[in-house]
Amino acid sequence: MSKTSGKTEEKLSEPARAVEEPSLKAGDRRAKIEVRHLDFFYGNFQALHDINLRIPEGRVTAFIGPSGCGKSTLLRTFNRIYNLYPGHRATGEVLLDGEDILDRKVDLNRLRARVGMVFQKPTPFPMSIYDNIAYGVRLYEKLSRSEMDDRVEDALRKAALWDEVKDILKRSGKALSGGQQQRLCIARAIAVNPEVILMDEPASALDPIATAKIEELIDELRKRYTIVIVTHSMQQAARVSQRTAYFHMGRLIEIGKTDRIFTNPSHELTEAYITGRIG
Amino acid sequence: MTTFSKPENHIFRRMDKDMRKLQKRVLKMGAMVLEQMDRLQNALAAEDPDKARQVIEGDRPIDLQEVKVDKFVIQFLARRAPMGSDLRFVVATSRIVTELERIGDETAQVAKALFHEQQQLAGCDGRPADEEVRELVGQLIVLFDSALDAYQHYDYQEALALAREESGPGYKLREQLKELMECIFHSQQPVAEAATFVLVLRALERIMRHVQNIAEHVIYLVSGEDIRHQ
Repeated sequence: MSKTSGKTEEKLSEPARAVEEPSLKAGDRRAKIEVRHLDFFYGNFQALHDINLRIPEGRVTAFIGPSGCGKSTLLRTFNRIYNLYPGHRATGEVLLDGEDILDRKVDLNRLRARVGMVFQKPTPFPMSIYDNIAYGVRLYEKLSRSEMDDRVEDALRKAALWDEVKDILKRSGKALSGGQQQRLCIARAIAVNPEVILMDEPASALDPIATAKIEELIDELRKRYTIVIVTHSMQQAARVSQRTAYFHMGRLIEIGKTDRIFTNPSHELTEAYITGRIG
Repeated sequence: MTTFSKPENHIFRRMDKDMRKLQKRVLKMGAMVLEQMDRLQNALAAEDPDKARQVIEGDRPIDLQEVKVDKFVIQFLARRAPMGSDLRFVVATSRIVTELERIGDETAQVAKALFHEQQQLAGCDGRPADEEVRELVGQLIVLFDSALDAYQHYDYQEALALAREESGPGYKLREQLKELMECIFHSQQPVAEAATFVLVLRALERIMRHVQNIAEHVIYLVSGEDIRHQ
């Protein structure tokens, strides 16, 4: 139990209104994703409460907060991966380029091609490096052999893995190191030409060098994609993101420029979290 | 809108300890500088070159303390990776250390100029220069003490008052310095004496500026506002 949890509950009982800089409400960039009045339920348990935020295009947005705060839950609404589990439901709106992806009519396969995802633990398929990439592409497109070769190479290059695997493409993806496996998963997500990449603690199982490579890759990828990353490492959020959102007990507490959030946050709960005063 | 937390209640308690230790070391350095200013004032009152020599020699331990605190700051940044108001605390503290070292230097410079060079200053408008300087140093001591107090207690209002140019407790001192400076320029003092007096007054002016800087760093620490050069 954290020392300040009593106080925290008191603060949260006030009407929740996330703090956001006025200048960013207008936004210098178009919102790729806009969340409006989102609630999320695991059965009877409400995990997210009235979330409202915008994810700018071509930027890295980091979600931070203590375990159970709802950051991963929110991330998983962006490609409706929660639909895989019965009893999980979301209400409100999640607009991707203005289209509500919570609408039942949305084609989930197409949505997941547009919004790729990379998980905490690298999850290469038990097949060759080449097929790890090609497998997903085949689900969405019919390409000739040479077109597929080009697509695989392009994805591996964008994931900064090509030079390391170009001579071993037939080898199993599982034979790669943890860091390489994670970049393979990123390449797999990239191969289907997504617009958004979601990353759920993508480097938490990696050593500092592999982590640095993933972070460098994220920085590189943001030129082409909108990225949302959930991380427990505040240093990582500070290093890779341009915007940071802080969540607490299922509520968005504060969102703003990363530079400001980590030097001068507006909400005392954010301050307490980033300075290590609540658990 | 901003947030500020005192160095307490970290889950990792060593963080509290380290921050308190850092502040304690800086306050010790501040006390050393304050003592130097006191000594200078006493030397002026007693017209005692021995006491002035003590001021000149007293600058060295302050320099060494600066090195010690700087080392601590670097280790703290590397090991604790502070964020939010903890980060502002360390940055502001590090800047304050530099100001303290410079105040120490300037104090020693005044002692050197007045005693080491054995200059007799004629003063202005019939008031002996020693007396003028002593009074100015006395005022600076009060202001400097107040700046240290603002840092120790994270007192935004006290810091804000000190940082204000056109009002606040430093206003009178600045006006006095200005008047004295004008008086010297219009007086018929020998060039060497006038030059030494100007040198001393300039040093006191700089001390005043450093005191204001400390107040500005405290404002940044507490509020996140950077009011420098505004």
